[in-house]
Amino acid sequence: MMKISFIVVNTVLAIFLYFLSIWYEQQDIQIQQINKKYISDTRKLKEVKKIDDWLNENVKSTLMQIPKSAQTADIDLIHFFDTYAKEYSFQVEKFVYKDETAHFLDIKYSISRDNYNKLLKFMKQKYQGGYLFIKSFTIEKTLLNGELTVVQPYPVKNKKTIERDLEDVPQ
Amino acid sequence: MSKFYSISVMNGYAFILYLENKNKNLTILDDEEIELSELPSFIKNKKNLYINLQQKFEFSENIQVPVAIATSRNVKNYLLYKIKESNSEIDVLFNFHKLPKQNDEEYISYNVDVLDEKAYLDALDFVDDFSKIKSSTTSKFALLSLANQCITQNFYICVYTTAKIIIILAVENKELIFSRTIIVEPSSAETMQMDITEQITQTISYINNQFRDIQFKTLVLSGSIALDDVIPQHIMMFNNVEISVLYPNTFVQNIDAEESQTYILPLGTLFLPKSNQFLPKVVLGIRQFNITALLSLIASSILLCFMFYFTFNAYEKYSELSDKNQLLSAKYAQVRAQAKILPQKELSRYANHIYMVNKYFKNTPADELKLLEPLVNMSKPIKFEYKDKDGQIDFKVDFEKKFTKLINLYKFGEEFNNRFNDINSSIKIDKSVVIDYKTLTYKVQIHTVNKNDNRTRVKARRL
Repeated sequence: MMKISFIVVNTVLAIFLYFLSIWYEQQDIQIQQINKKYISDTRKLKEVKKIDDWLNENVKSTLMQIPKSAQTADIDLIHFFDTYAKEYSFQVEKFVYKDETAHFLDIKYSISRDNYNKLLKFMKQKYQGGYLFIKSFTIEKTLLNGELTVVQPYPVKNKKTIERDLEDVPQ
Repeated sequence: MSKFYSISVMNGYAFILYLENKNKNLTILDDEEIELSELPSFIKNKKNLYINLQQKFEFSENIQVPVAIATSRNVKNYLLYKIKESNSEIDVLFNFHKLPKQNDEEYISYNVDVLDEKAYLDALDFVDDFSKIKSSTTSKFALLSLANQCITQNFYICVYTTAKIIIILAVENKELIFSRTIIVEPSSAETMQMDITEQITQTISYINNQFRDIQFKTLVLSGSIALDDVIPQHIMMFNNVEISVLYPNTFVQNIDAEESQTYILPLGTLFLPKSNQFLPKVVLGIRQFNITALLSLIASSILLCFMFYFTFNAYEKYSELSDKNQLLSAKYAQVRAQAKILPQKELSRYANHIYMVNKYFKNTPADELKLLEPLVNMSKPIKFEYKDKDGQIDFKVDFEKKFTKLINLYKFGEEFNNRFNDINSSIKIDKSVVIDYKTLTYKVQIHTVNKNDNRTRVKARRL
C-alpha cells in the first residue's frame, strides 16, 4: 500500500511538474516578447530624447510666436509693410495670399546704395512674426532694389491635439 | 535481505530460525520452537519468511511427456492436464523434474510432486501477509535441498526422523527419484526403535528393488535418528550401507551438532532451488504485483527526477528572464522619464518651422556676396543681380576696372583668375571676361551655371 501511495504521489507530482514546466515555458515566451518590446521602446525613447534635445537646443529658441487668428496674421503683415514702407520704398507687388502653412505678402523694395547704414539695416532686417524671403536683389549704380516676400506662419485650424504613443514613433 | 526467518511446521509445532546472511555466511541469531497456535502472533511483524510444511495430501508420480512438447510452459500444461485427469476435483500445486535416466526416445519422463492447493493454503493460514513469503515448500524438498548441499555422492538414500515422522528420499544425481513419508504410531515406547528400524529397512529394500540398476551405498541420516546409537547400527546390519550424518553446522555458524539436527528442515529451506518451491497462485500474484509495484515505483521516481530536472531548468530560465525583464523595465522607466513625447500639434509646429527655415533661409544674397568676397575686395562690382526661383539661385555680378599701366591690368587679371578658380571649386559659376587694351579696362561678368545653360564658356577677348 505504501508503494502504491508513493507511485500515486510520484505520478501526481510528475504531472504537476510537467504542467508547471509548460507554464514556465509559456511565461518565458511572454516575458521574451515583453523584453523585446522594452528593448525596442527604450531604443525609440532614446531617439526621441535625442530629437527633443536637438529641438530644445536648435529650434525652440528660434520658434516663431504664431498669431492666434488668421486676421491677426494679416494685420501683422500689413503693419510690417506700413512700418518700413517709407524707409525702404516699399510697393505692394502681391497683396496677402496664403497656402496651407502661411500668409504671404510680396513687396518691392528700393534703397539708395550710398546710404550704407540703411543698406546694412535692410540686410539685417527681420520680421518678428515670421520670415523675410528675398526673392530678388539687384545692386546697380546707386540703387539697391528687388523683391521680397514676407512670410507669416498660419495658425493651424481644426486640428485637435493628438497625444502620441511610442507606437507612432518610427523604428 | 540480510536477516530472515526460516520456519518448519510439523506435527503442530513450528521450528523457527532467525538467521543473518553476511558475506554468504549464515549465522543463526536466534532459534525458537513454539506451538503452531502461537505462530501467527510470533510472525505478525516479521518479514522474509522461508517456510516448509508437512503436507498430508502429497504424492509423486512419473509422467511421460511426448518429445514433441518442447517448451517448459507446454510441458507444465501437459503435466497439469495429466494430473487433472486423475485429480479433477481439486486444485493442485505441483513441481516437476526431468528424471536423470530416460528409457524411451518418444517420451521424456518427469517426476511430478503434487499438492492440494487448498489444503496447502490452509496450512499457510498462519501467515497474515503472503507477500512476506520468500520461499515455501514441503518438508521432503527442504530435506532434499540440505542433503544435496552436504552430500557429494551421485546416489544416496536420505532418512530424516522425528518422534512421529520418517521421511525417506532416494536421490540420483541430485534429483529426487523416490520419496516416502511415514507416520509412526508405535504401540509402545519399547517397540518404537524396532518400528522405525523396520520401516526404514523395508523402504530401503523397496528402493533397491525398484531401482536395481542403481547401487545406493550411502545412507544419510538426519533428525532424531542421527542422535540415536541403536537404530543406525540395526539399519547397517540389515542393509549393508555406509552411514553418513548431515552436519550443517559446517557452513552454518552459531549452532552445535546436536542442536542442528532439530533444525534440519528449517535449514534445508534456505537452500531450496526455485524448481522445488510450491508457491500458490495467490502468492505468485502478490509477488508479481509487488514486482510490478516496485518497477512502477522506480519508473515513477525516475520520471519524477526527470520532471524535477526539467522543471528546475525551466524555472532557472524563467527566473533569468524575469530578472532581465526587471532590469529592462527599470531602464525603460528611466529613459521614459527623461524623454518627452511631444503632441502632434507641437510637432507640426516644429516641423513647419524647420520647413520654412529650410525654404526661406536656405539662400540669401548675403551668402552669395560673402562667397564672392575675395573678388569684391579686388574690385567693387558695378552690378549685382540675385534671384531665387523656388530655391534655384541665379545671380550675375559685373566687375569693371580701369588701369593706367598694363602691368597692373595683367596682374589684376591673373589674381582675379586665381581667386575665381578658388571660388569655382565650391560653387558652379562661370565668367565672361572682356579686356580692352586700348583703354586698359578689365571687364568681367560672373554668373551661376544653370543646368539648361547652353552658353559656352567665353574666353577672354582682346579688343
